[in-house]
Amino acid sequence: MLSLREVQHAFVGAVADGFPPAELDRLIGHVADDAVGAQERLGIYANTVRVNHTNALRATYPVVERLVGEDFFSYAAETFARSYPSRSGNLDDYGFEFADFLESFAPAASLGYLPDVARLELLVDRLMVAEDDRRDRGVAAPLAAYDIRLDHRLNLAAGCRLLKSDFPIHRIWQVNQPGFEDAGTIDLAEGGALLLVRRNGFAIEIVSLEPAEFAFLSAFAAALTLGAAVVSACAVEPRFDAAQSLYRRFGDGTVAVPLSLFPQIPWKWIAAGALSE
Amino acid sequence: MIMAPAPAYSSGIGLRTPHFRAVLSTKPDVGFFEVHSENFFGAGGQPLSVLERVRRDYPISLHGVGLSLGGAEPLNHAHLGKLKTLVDRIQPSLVSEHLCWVGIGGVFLNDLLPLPYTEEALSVMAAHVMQVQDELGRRILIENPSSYLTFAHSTMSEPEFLGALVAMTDCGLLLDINNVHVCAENHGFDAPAYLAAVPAGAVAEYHLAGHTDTGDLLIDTHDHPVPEPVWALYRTAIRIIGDRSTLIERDSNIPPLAELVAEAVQADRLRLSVAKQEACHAVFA
Repeated sequence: MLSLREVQHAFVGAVADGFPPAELDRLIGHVADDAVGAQERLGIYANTVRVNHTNALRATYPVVERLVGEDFFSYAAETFARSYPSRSGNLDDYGFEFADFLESFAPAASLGYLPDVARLELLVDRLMVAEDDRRDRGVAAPLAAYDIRLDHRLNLAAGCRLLKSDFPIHRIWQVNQPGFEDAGTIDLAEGGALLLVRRNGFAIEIVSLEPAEFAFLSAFAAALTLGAAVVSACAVEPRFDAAQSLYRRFGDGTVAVPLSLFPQIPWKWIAAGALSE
Repeated sequence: MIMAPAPAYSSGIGLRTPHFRAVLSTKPDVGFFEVHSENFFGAGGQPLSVLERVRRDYPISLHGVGLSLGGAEPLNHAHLGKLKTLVDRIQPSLVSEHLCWVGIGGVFLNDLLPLPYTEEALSVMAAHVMQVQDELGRRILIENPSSYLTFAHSTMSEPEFLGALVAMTDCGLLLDINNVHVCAENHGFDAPAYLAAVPAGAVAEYHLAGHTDTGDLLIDTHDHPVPEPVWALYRTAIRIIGDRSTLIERDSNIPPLAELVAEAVQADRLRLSVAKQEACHAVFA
């Protein structure tokens, strides 16, 4: 008689891998076999698993599905599932590797933009349930109050991500949103996308950036210093106005200043005990 | 004079994304809302915000599908930690999970998979239920699943297994009436006898849902209104086990909010009328 662990491994092997004979043989003597055969009974689970996993991908990647059609998407999803099984009891964690899979999925080889569209959709999906930005911008100190030097490291704020693509994925994403009317056509030669994706309240904003500003913000995302960020941006565009960009992106909540750089005067007061007396 | 029983129990519906706006704006007359715990494991965003707002006006029941309590390996700490965070944040009226496993060895099928009803599976399940109850600091309910196969080496019936689990862990039970009906049809047992064998005192909630008939087997699809055989078995359950809070479960083909509310109202009427009849029987017997 199989142990519980052996039953469960055989079950997963049988259901997830399309009933290889070895796994099925191990299990079949343990499954009650009557008017409805054991394999048909196991098939019910295999079907539910396939549908649930495909629907989970469908929910995260609706634009990819719209681009390739329902049947192609289902085929891609089922092929994906064999190489990238679910690793979590939470179905919301499933399918994070779908873009990487699409890179090497031969039937989609002619759709070079598809993996990056999937990357954008995953970013949007994850940002929708990312931590809320609870900062009250009304009482935040103005940037000028901070003592920021070129060797300080600033951060990209929690709900902000950058995404670079050689394809116009922002436009592809936009015209494939529900209710978008003026679909028109997109020329893949119109150029790539340098995107800032962020959540504002519960809405997702996708902002196209100039190359120099993309380089500037990428340096913060990579935990480089302000000086390195300026050098990186000016290498792209020598006339890049780093101060103006910093004010703007601090003001709109894209750049965050670490706590250690909070305005100095109150800290000095606190250190001197002025506020506690 | 015979007094009507106090409304200790109520009927609720699932809180699903398409109804977020309508629930917040119309505040429908239902007793509680139930959600799948895992759908609210994110750190923030609209779903969690809506749940917190709904929580101000209604009790919330957290219903998990992914802990894999019957899995022959240690529980996933991260998953349990997220559940605890959600429980602490929402302060639910009920927390439930399933008599099942969902994956093994790092591969998850994300479906409610059947257990052999053996002493070994009972000790695994009991240890995990106790671990979750300790971690959350509260009693949880365990739901009977729909199943499409049974194991030849099972040594207990499902009600016997549930009864032993209750005795070992002091957990409660969430009795899914549709699942009892589906299993009775699929495995050829007597549904009322199943109800009579379950420890009635442990049952704290009923689920009602619809299913799909493939001809050979019934499949627990949650994509239809509650069908008549399930309503009939629900009446039997109230007579045998008693009146309990009841959830109308719908996970796909989700209808307008008003239709689900109407089913909850129907469950309420049925609960109260059967419970009243039973009270009369008790007085005049």
